[in-house]
Amino acid sequence: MNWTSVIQDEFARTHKQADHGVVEELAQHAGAAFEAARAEGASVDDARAAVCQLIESWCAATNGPRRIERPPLIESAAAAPSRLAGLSMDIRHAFRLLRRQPGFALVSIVMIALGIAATTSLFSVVNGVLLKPLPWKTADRLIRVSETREGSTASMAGIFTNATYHAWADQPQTIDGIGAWNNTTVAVDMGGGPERILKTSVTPSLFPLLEAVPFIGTGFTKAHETDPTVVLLSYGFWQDHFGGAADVVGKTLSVDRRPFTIIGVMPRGFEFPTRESRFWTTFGVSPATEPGSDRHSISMFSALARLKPGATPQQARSEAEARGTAVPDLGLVLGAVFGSNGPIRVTAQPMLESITKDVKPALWVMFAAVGLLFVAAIGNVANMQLAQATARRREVAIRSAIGAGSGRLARQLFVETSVIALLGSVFGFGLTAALLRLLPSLLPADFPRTDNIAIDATTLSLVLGLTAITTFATGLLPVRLARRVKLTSALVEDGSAPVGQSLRSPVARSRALIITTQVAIASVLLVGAALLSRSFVALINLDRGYTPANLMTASVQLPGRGTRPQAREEFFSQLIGRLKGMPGVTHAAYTMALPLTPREARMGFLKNANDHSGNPDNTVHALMRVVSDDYFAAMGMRLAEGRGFTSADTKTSEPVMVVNRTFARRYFTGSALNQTMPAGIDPEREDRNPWRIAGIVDDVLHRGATEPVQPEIFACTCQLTNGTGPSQFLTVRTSTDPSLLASEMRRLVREMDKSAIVEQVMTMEARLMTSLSKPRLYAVLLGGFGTFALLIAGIGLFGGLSYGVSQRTREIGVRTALGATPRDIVRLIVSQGVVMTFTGLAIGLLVAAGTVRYLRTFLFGINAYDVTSFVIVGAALTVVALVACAIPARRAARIDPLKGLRT
Amino acid sequence: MDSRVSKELKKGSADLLILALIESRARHGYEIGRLIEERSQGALSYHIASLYPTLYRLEDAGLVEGRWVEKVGQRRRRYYKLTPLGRRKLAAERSVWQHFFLAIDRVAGFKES
Repeated sequence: MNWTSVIQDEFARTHKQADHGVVEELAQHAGAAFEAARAEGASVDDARAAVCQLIESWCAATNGPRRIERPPLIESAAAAPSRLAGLSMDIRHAFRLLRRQPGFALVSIVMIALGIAATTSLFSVVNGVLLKPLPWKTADRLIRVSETREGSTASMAGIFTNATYHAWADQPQTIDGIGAWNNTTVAVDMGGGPERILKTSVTPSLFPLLEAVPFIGTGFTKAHETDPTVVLLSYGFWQDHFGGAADVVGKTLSVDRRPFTIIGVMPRGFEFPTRESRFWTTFGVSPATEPGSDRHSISMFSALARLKPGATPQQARSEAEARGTAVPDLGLVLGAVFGSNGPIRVTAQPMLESITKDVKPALWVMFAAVGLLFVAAIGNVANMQLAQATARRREVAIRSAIGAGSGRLARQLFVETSVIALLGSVFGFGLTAALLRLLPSLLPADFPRTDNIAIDATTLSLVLGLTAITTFATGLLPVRLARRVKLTSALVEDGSAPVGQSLRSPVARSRALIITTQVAIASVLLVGAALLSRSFVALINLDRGYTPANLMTASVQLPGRGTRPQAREEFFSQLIGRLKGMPGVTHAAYTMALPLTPREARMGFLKNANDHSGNPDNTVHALMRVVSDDYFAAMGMRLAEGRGFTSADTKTSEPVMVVNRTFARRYFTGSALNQTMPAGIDPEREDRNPWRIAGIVDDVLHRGATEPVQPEIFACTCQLTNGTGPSQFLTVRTSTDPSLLASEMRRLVREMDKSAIVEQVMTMEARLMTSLSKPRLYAVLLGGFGTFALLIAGIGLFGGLSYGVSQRTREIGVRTALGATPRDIVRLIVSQGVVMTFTGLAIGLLVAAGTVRYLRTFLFGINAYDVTSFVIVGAALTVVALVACAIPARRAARIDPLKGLRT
Repeated sequence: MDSRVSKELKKGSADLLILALIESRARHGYEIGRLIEERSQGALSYHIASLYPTLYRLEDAGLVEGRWVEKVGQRRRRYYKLTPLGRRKLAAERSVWQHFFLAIDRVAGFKES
């Protein structure tokens, strides 16, 4: 039928004109309408009449249409659609599916988000703390050097002495130079009252080794070694306190009430040794032997050296040891410092390694743990996707039957999983950002380099990588499945027929494998968590030789009474007297060094002052602890023999000391009680009577739980001429909650001396917990990871079995109809879960047994192969698995056989 | 409702219908006609007769834009798409007309899935 001419005739008949385009368009419509009418069953004539009527109505209503002509669009051939055609449709389809199954989507997204957040956050820490280079230009050639003596049991980590320093600094072969520093907290008064600030004093040789120069003013020169009243400000300090004024050079800064001249400002971003240091002063390393005399003086500090290009830390170490050996023997002093007079031992570690060595193994272990967790979480999502894909076999088959290519189908499934993976990653990334913001407050205060932890390009690429892994891992299985669907079997199959069960299909096998792996991962992480937790509990319950409960402590400094020892002693005696009068206080004392504080005094002397033969048995090395008379009772220390100090011990009474068990054991074969030590412990005491050991106390762990106890001598401030330094710690034992004392203690000290500085007002238990913050953090982290892994394994089992039950409804119906009891059905379902659980548990415990040795350095008081931990984990996993199995099993047992058969 | 108002409404409703149908994507005349029939379940088949005059009028008014589209191996077809002006008109019309005609609502209120 030529509709074009019919339309042209019609226009002509009504005396109207229409352009070609209009005629062509109407003719097309007419043709289509005719075909449609015919298809609906109209006869040729009827169809034709209808279309003619339509044409007439068009012509009647139109006034000879002429139209704006636009150039036609040329579209590519329909036969060759672009590879991406329909992608937006797939994405919309994916979102529709998510909306239809919000629970499934939510669980998947949460799993991925948590997995990615945990992995990325931990990686940010690893990256910021362990991997990022140090902020100094020459960082890769800087080595931290420290020395000790062979046979030393004293831990004086990271110190260097003046003797070795000078011996090495003179024309060294392996290093460009050596520099030293010391950190001190000082009071700076900028007009608004004294402020406690960390100051670092450095040798003028140090900053040139870092290639650090001030951006205003000049740096330290050799001349400043003997003029230690100049100061370089950090950029931050300059901004905060001088408003970034350019004319700061030459101004005065009051440090501990002494004037320092500002000579320059270091550039923004410069920090040494850490960001906490706000300004730098100088010091010169004193010679070990004073020129023209045979008096030895020893000084200690931290030191670093810069390797010559091509030199190794080992070469530097050998050179330092060789130079150090040639130094004249410093005798007792050196022995006192190191607790041994053996040959010198130097360590030379790359700076980064030395800064991070405490946390490095733990960080890698945690990172490995979080990696496992990520695998488990992603496994869960893959598993759910797989269940989905199985349930959608028919849909896939139908699509395939109506002509969707397998590539097209695979793409659609892949898009679906990608949408979930991407959403999960986005949330995970947001969670990471939030976590990293919180992190500085969560990490222990002495955790190194925390200000380097940030999201950077490396972290971002990790997130992208993890997203890609997630997408492929969770998308690959369903896609593989889609490609394998056999059309006829999938279409013919009854939707609820027992498919994909009992490991008969590859899908079921993959799912069982994933669940087993999850159980295995959970058991590995839980074993680690159990070990660390038990070790942490052991650390808390450890007998440290004193009673941390009900003990309040504080540091008190008296800058105003710096020069008068009697005045200080008077002040502290009065303070102790007033504290003892407070309600709830049972004992109060003061000491120069509390357990868990870094300060200590060491001494060395000859047991027999007249024996100068060099007999090593005659040499005594000990830590000196000066305490007030009530100290042992206040600390809750235990007297093993003899007596403690009493108010009867005075500056004129018989000089007595108390030693710890280690001292008694090391220096005496029989009982140490009532043995005497030569005078000289207090060089200023007027009488030259020997000191008698009046008591022996149990050992106290002053530092970490694993550090060996040193021989210790306690002397009472009441007997020493100059026993009370300007900085002391108060220890107050109470019968009530000790923290109630805090504000009262502060008030009391201030009332007695306005210039006194009261710091670290905290209970001994709080100090203990702070000292344990790293083991606690590791235990909490691994505990968290383990719990999450357990949850994942539980969800995996529960989901897997529930899905299995829903798929086997018909089979279970048949079994019940044939006489299976609910018990049989429960056994059927549970046995499946039990097989997966115990296989996973067995593998997990084996892997754990093989890897716990990496935890050995973190463990205290328990063996890495601690049977209890392994048993606890096995029991916990079994319980969770049984709960996860019980619910689907009950559901299966309740299936009505009729209903099961009908569906 | 007197006959004048009714006529106005019908005219307006036809415009609204067509604009709504090409809101989500460009369509050719036959497709538009079929959709009007289907979606109003025959209630508005009357409009088919005036489909092209209406389309041409809307095009003259700048509310729609017709264009021939050529595909390899297919007959060229004239597709109508909504212009920005048409989009604004549709939005305005919707708020007025939805109120009156349920039959039209079924078409105009239904967005492409």
